[in-house]
Amino acid sequence: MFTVLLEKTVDGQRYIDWLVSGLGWTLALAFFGWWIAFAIGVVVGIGRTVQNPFLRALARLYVEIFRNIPVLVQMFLWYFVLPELLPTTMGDWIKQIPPPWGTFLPALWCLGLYTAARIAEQVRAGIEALPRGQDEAAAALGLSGYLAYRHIILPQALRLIVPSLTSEVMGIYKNTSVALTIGVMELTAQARQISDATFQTFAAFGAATLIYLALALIAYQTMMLIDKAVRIPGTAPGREAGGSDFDAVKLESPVPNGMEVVK
Amino acid sequence: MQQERTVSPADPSPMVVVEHLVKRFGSFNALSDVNLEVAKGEKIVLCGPSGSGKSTLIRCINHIEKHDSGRIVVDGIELTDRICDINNVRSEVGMVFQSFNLFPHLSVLENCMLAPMKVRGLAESEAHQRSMALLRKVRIHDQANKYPAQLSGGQQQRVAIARALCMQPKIMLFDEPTSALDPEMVKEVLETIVELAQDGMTMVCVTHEMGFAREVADRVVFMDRGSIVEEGDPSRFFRAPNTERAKAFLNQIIH
Repeated sequence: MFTVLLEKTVDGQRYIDWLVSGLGWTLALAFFGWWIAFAIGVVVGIGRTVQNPFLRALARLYVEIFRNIPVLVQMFLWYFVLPELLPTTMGDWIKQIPPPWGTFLPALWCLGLYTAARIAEQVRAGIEALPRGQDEAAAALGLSGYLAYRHIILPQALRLIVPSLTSEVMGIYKNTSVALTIGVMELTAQARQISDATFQTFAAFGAATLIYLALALIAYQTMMLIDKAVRIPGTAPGREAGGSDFDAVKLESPVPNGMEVVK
Repeated sequence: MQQERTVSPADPSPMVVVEHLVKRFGSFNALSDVNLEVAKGEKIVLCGPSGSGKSTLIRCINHIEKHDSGRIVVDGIELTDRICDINNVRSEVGMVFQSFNLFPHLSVLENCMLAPMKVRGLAESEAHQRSMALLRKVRIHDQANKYPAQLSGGQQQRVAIARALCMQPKIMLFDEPTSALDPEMVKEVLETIVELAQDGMTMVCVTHEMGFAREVADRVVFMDRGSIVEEGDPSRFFRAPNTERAKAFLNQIIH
């Protein structure tokens, strides 16, 4: 049924090469987007818990804006609207970024910032779930502010949220498919192209679906391994991240609902 | 109020001075006008019913709780809101908590080495040496590479004591150090604290271990409802307290 994928395309490749190319862009978006999201998410998440009310409000504002606008709309804002808002020379410069980067970079940026807002909430919940005694013990030893976050609070909070970050990892790579709307030729876009060229809709999207499923399982297993690797010796496995109000994690993932459940 | 000083301090300047200390939680007066002086080398046991403000008092001394008014001077440094003062004071004051509060993601040795390296700027080798020496002192050096969750409560509390000592504090504060322990582990922790007292460490200890108080304390301070009601020599205090409230309290804890 997938034999159509081995047929030659008009440009001399095989259709499966289109899928592989799409997979490459999907992975690139997810991988680099993840690190942007993680870096910003940790900083904003910390910002949500610091004493300074100005920084706290700023972090809150970030989360509310980026978490509450649909990712599709954000994609359009970055790609279509931003160049028009900027001064003409800058806008023109952005519009002249050669393909495929002209669409890839806004998509990457968009997915990174959107996912960062979600990660920030996980980080905040992880920090708030730590016993108060940890702060106090750190303070009593003279470790305050940066030192306490760096050596005591973050290492524990991040371990605590590995299970719930799993759904963010899977979230960002599934959201990469939204990038097709601004013209990134990622996996879904390629599947559609194959479907259009061959009228084999089932084969084209069936193959894409299987690839997405396989990726989800790989991501899930990888996060399980990370969870195991960073587990503190002597603590029980499968420790729940007992956060206060994690935002409701959508159970949209195709994997068995094991560790992904937060609440 | 009874004043019986059994210490004869060689150095007359006190380690801790608390004057007119007031601490409120909302409308609740946790501490109202508390005055306390701790001489260098003096061992004080703080006792009193729960909610009497004894934990709050020692938590104010290293500014884990912020006091509302009054003065706290630790080794000549007055505690104000200035961060450098707070950190200066905290690095001179060791604190041991009821629930140990070890850092669970760090090994026993790393728990001890962290603050000396990051706060005092000690080299790793020196911090390692100091930590091992103090872990040996609390007889837990053979567990140095384990993690807190792999130790018993008594062992964890001894690590917490070693961790505080690694900063070479001038005074140690103990907040009910044995209350969270199984009965058979109380002794090993108390023995460690007694040894520390015999080395001449200045200490303020919140505890209801009366045998320990008799053995170690130079002075017992009894608190109730946020103020110091009575203080005095432990042998006299436990035998014949002056105030009714202290009598009632002692009747309740001595079964």
